[in-house]
Amino acid sequence: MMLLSRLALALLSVLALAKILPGYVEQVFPRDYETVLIAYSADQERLIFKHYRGGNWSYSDDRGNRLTEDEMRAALPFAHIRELERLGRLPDEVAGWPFDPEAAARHGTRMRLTPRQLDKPDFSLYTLMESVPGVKGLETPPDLFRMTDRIEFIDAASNRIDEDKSRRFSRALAAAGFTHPARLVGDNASTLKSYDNGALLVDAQWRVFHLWQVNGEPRVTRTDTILPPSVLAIRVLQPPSREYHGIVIFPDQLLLLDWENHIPHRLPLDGHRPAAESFSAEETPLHWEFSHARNETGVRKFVLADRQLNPLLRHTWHEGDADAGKRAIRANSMGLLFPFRLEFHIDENTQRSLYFSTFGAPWPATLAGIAAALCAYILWCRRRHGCLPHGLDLLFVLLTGWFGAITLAVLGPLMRRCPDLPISG
Amino acid sequence: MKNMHATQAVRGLLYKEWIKLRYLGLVPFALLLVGLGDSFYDMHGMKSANGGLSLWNAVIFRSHMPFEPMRYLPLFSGVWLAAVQFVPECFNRRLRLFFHLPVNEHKALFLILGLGAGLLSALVGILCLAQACITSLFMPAEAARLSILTLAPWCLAGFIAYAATALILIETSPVRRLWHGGAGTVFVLALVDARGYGSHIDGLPWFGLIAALWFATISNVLDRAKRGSS
Amino acid sequence: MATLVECDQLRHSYAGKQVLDGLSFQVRKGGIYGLLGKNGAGKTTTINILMGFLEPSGGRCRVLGDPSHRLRPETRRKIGLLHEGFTQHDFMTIAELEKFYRHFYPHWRPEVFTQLVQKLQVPASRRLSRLSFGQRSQVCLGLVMAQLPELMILDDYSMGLDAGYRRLLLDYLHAYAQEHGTTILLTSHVVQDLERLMDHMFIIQNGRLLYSAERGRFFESFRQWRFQRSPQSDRLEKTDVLTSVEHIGKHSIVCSFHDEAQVRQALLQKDAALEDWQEIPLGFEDAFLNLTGKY
Repeated sequence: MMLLSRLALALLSVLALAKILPGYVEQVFPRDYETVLIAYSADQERLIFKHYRGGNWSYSDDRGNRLTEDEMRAALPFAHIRELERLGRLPDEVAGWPFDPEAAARHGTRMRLTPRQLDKPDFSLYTLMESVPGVKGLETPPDLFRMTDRIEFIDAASNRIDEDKSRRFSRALAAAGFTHPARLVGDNASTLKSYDNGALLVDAQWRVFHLWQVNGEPRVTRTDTILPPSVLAIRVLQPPSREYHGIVIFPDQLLLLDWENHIPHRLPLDGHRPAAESFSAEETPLHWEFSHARNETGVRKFVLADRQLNPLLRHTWHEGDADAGKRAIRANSMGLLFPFRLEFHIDENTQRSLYFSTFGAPWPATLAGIAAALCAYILWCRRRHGCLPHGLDLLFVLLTGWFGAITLAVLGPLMRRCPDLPISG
Repeated sequence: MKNMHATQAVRGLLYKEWIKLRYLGLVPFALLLVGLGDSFYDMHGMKSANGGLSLWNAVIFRSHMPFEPMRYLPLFSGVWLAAVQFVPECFNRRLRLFFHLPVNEHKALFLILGLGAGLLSALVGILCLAQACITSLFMPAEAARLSILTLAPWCLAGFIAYAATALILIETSPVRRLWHGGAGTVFVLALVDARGYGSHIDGLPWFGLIAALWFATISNVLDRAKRGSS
Repeated sequence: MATLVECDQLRHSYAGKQVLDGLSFQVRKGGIYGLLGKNGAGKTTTINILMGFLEPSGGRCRVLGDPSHRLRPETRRKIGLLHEGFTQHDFMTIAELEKFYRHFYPHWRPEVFTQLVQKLQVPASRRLSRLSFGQRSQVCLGLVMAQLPELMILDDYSMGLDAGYRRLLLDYLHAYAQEHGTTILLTSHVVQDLERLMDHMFIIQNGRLLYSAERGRFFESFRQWRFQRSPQSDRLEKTDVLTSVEHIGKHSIVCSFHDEAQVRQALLQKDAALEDWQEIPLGFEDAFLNLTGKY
């Protein structure tokens, strides 16, 4: 009983140290690593890199040429239409395509997905706005809907279920063959969009349904798309080009649902993990550009695809040797000092929890750190108490490194080896 | 005979806790009432002024928390209740009175802790239930459910604060008092400093386990205080 | 006669300073025992070990048959403990304290407590924190007496009390011990009141037992003589025979457990001229101070 109690206090102390100490020690190492954004210049048929370091931007191409900001803008006219228009430098044509600002805007979808969007807790209440709003434009609807064994609309003013509307929409879903309960719902509550594209629903059979509200009445499309159960999320899209209805997110891939019949098209990405990597897609009238990267790795992957999502060019950017060297020094030093760290909050997740991680140091460095902690603790015991520590204490330090050694030095040992040694509290 | 002694001893210990808590133990409940009233008037005021849709938009899309003022209530209550129970017990070497009582000191300690934790449970229970009811008056049940899940880590912080404060008060070494305080602060901050609804849903079981571990630590500190080792 | 307390070769140190260094003594059933010593002699450490508040770093100590650092609740129920400085729950009223403690002791005698406290002429609804130190001592003693313990331990009962309250406390204690046959072990650094009260005394110094005797035996055997001071007497030092040597004004004063002839012999061997030789009667406090030293 007492041993368990002592272990509990020692364990909590180790967790607290694993949260605090690495954070402080890490500040010794500068973290001004370079990050990069990658785009494709169709006109010049080369990749353009936008480098960011310590608050400053610089630009280069894939042949190693440094570019000025103006040169970079001129190389990427689709991404900088507004600035080029203001400066009167819009090109007449790009890669043989006669430059049309309206068409460029129509095919200028930009999409960002981050891992945080996947685990963000929601109210499970969804928006379905009027898709044909007339002259009033898009408005926030006066109700939200939930999916139970039917679809239920709840009126915000009275906080009551709108039975009439719920019955009409439930009937429409039932008529389309929707099986409750719904697995996933994808909506878009923003009114800052050019049109409304309703909500995407995935039913109990994993079939995708598309629901709109047109003049107050339900309109349901039952698609032929049946998703595998591993699907993580579905999002409805409102691209100006009206080429895709939505995006479906899986643990290892992304699919776009096409406009005509909701057929899924896989994005040509290399080993993308949506739960860990951020993803961006940029559409131009000529191509699709995709890139994805994981935080703190110094690697970004880029894929250029044609309008039909066939890959044309793949590129993986690695940070420079200097940055990689700094990163390795940091990892080795941290790994030498601490076998692991604890964080309650990481960039990839919105959820606060206990996230344990190592520093990516080679295992000999970590083992050397643990050995140093063991020696220091043994010396401490000999000096302070005049005897060697108990085996359980040594095991504790072996598993927790300096965290455990510091903890036992402050709190006292877990088990007595010599009779006059006070045990920890 | 032994059972009779035990029953009488439990009654004696409960009597002492009653004396300590009968007035000061009500302070957190008074603050709870104020907080709940504030939460109600926040939602009611927003709905009256701008309509239900405005309230829903604020809560659902802008993460407005009408119960935000109660973020630190369980934390304060945990510290307060532990202080009310353990300051008279531990200061000026009064822990010796406790050790000399003819009862098993560990069972007696857990009776005291159980009472304090029970009171704290009642407080956070009322907090969650009442807040869920208030939210349900203005919003769908989903919002009430997520409100409770948002309150839950704050409530857990209260339990950790309670156990850590008791530990600090029972502890006899100033250095270890600081140590326990620091460790407790790490976990308490992890539970109360997040913004947004439902930020701890995945981590709640782990933090629950940590709160239980904090209670488990008290036994050996009491034992060490009794043995007089520093 | 049963042994209630048995300490054997007790050792304890604080931060490297040896406070108890092989202390041994026994308390048998019946009578009032005094554990005496100057400040820092190790009295409170001994009581703390007896009550299980300290685990000795060496030696053995048993109280009512239990190892002192593992006293069972049943054993603690038989021990009434008056804490140093009359430590008690200040936040409770007199009545609440009585009501609280009565739950723990099956032989609780409320009338013993009431009798003692009534004499204070303060309402039972008054908090302990609002009582004077003397009044507080009476309440604390009442709480211990009402338990009807088999063994009563009073740790530095005299601390902070004026002569009146000290005498009052001792009178109650004496009467109580006679009536109930309770064994009492008390410590104090103020010894002048204890002369009439104690049946047996343990005098400790530097963590060791310096002297142990029945009350009468102490006065029978420990005596003091005075003679004219001389350069030879100034060179006198403590020996096995001369327990204390002191020079005040024109006189040298010696104390000893040995008889007069042996003391004179020891002094003459040191060439002391024993002019104006006479025995000085010893009070209890004088005897204690001569034994333990004034510094």
